[in-house]
Amino acid sequence: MLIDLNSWQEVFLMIRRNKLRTFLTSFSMAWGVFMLVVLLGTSKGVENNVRHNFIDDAVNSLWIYPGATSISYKNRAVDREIQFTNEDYEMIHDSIKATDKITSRIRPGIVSLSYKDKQASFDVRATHPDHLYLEKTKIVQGRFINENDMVMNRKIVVIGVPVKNALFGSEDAIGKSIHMGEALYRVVGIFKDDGSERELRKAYIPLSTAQMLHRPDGTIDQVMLTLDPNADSVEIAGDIQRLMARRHQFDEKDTQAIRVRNNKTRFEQVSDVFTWLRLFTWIVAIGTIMAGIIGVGNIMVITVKERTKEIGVRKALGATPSRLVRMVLKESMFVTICSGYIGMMFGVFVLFVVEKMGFGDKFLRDTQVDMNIVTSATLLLIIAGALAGFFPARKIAMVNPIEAMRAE
Amino acid sequence: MIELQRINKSYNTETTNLHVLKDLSLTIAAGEMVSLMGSSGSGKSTLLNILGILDSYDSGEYHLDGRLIRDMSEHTAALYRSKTIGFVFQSFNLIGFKTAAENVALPLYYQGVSFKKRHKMALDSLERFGLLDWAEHLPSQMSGGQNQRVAIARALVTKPRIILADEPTGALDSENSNDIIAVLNEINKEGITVVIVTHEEDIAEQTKRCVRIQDGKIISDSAVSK
Repeated sequence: MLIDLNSWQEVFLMIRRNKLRTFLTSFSMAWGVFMLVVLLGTSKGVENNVRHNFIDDAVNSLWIYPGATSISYKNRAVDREIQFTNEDYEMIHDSIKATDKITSRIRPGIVSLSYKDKQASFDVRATHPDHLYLEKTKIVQGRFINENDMVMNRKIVVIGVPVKNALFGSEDAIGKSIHMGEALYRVVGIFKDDGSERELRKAYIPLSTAQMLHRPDGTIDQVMLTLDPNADSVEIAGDIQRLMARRHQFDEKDTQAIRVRNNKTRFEQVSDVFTWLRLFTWIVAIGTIMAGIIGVGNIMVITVKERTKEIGVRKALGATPSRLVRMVLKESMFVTICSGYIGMMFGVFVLFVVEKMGFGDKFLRDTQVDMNIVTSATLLLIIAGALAGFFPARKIAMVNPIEAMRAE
Repeated sequence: MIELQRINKSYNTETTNLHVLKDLSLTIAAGEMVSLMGSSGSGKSTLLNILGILDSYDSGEYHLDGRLIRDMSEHTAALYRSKTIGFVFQSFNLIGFKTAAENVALPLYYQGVSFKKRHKMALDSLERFGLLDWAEHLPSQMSGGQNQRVAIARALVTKPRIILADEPTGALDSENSNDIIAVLNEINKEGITVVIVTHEEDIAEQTKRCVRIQDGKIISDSAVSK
């Protein structure tokens, strides 16, 4: 009966000649599905983007910052500032067996860099060679800081792509010297980073060079290390806390004296946020679907009511009730299936355009939509529309055609 | 052709009990042209509904073309209507979004006639009533008289044995009314039984037999003297 050409011709005629009705049903259907696709896609895109930005830093890593004591220990005053030196770096390096890569970091801060007549200010960091792995820095030309640079206190610098563009333009930068304050540094490498733009606007110099010039006392600002994949980062964070507590004379429970940022734990916390985001998305999605069901259903009910007279005429001319109900259903389902598909395609298209237009870098990434969910939701709307048409149609199909025809 | 025996019909609501048809008996032979006259509330519309198998009755017997019409399901009633009876209504009841030809073809669609064939039959039927040029027009683009002729063309396209016309001239001026009655007379000449419900004397006078109904009973039944 579904491929009954005769009845489809009748359905197409109705669709063609009742453009407003077709449009209203299509629009509310397509709109519902469109909103759903955009909602789910955006939410997924935001999640993917945050996840991606995390990939910038090694996940199984610990970042250790000195702070100030908050608990009195052995009668010493609180608020005592802890200062890290090269010895702290050595100690962690030697004591923590699971250490894979380790680096200290000094931040000389925003420094004015110049090459010939060009000048710009960038954030300078002084690190060990292992820093390359901690930030997942990608060298696009030349090399990163190496052990020889450290031993010889070389005045070399590795710059991010935007730094290179600002100072050199299209000129080749490798081997050229740039002014950093009073000193001249030779560019040995150019890097990029998958993380945010901020991570690119940096210049890296060897830690030893920076200490020789600015920190003769051997102080450092932080220590960062990655762990063996199998290591328990939470346990090791505790080990470091105890190690530092003994060395710097503070209470083991004092979480303010030093801060150990555990990227794995942080990642898990963000994953928790994703769970809530997903839940929230689902609540809104279900709301959208329900609004769609009510919208499509409403139009169907009104449409069938409007067609009371027509149905009466058809009945007087020999249409059986079941045929009338089938006719109404075929029309509504054809319209809702087509418009649901259009809404779905349009939603996917909009997500695609948003991503391509560049908003993608900042908010969205891989705005993939789970087609199973969208298809199920579309089916749900189609069924809702069909049911909303079915009950009033059946009611009218059962009444006396004379009465149905009198309805205006 | 039509045989009604002691038909009773009441409409019962919680507060009222309206006895509309009271032991009404009426026989109409094949090929007759009968007018059913009565004021509003006389029961003539109810009678027409029962004749057209659009409504049920409480007691008595109704034979249509030799077959007892009783307790029919909606489905069977629809099929039987489609085969035997053509309807003409006061307000034409054409479907607004369909052209004249499509309206005329609609009963054939419900009989399962193919698209091409029913379109051809519809055009033939329209041609007979001088409406071929209007075949592709919508009801809103035609006059009342043209609409009613389209409705008659539609009633006849299935070649029914009976035409039931409910106040077919009620919405028309006298010129168009006479035209429609002339058309119905012509149909009758071909042997089709025509039953017209009306409250206009001059319409009734143009039929061959006039049955007057009042308070659910037949008060007179006589041949119309020409």
